[in-house]
Amino acid sequence: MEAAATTPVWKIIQFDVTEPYDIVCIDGKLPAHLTKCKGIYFSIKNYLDTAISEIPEAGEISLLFNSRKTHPVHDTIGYSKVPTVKRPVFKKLSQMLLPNQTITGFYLDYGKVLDRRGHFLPYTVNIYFECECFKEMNHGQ
Amino acid sequence: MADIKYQIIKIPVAAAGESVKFSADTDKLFSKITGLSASLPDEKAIPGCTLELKIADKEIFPEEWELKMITCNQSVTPNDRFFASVQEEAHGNRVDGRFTDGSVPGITYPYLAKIYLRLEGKI
Repeated sequence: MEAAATTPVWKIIQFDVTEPYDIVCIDGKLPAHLTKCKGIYFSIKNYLDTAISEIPEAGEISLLFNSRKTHPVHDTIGYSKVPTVKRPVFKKLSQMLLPNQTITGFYLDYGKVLDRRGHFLPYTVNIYFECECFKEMNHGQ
Repeated sequence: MADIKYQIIKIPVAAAGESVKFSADTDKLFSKITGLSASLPDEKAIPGCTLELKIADKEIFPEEWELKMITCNQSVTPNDRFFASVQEEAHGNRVDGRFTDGSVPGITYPYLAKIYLRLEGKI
């Protein structure tokens, strides 16, 4: 018999980048009932009037899960001011989550998010986590 | 094939940066929500817009969830525009949310933001 599909649980950790070449410490927690992170997506939030329409590498992110026990993510984050053609897709991850552990890491800005006059544009980054939880807690939360 | 119904929720946005609460009931005659999508009259307005969403009091999209996560442009085929990861009970359940405009320069106000629900399993 086909298993009934259930909606994943999505959580967001957000941080601000205020200066060029900023190094931002990331320190967050996911709810204890989440058991697995199966996808991740990074997004520079809000509209930025950047000099170029696409910045493939605005900065670099590194994330450690389960209070620094695992290090599954080291990646770059890009920005495009062109409206998206297709809906963003979560990058696949298969990370078991231990309850009440932290997600830590850093983000390093590359100093590329500039307006037409070459001035840095401060921005906000959303980290989306696509997670699974205990089946009995999946509904009625 | 099971019956399918598409339901629209329209959200009036009067000014830049406005945050609008909305709620709607899903059709009682359908058992499941099998996807959702969203659109704005001007696709340039999408960056920075956020959509917080609950279905039957269960959090689906948390605060700060960007609208772009569930939008596509017209080059994507209609069936592929739906974000099918959302699989929830319909049965007249309430959809509550908050839409916040992204304050993109050059956008004309007021406008109507639209959220589309795909419902299946006619009772």
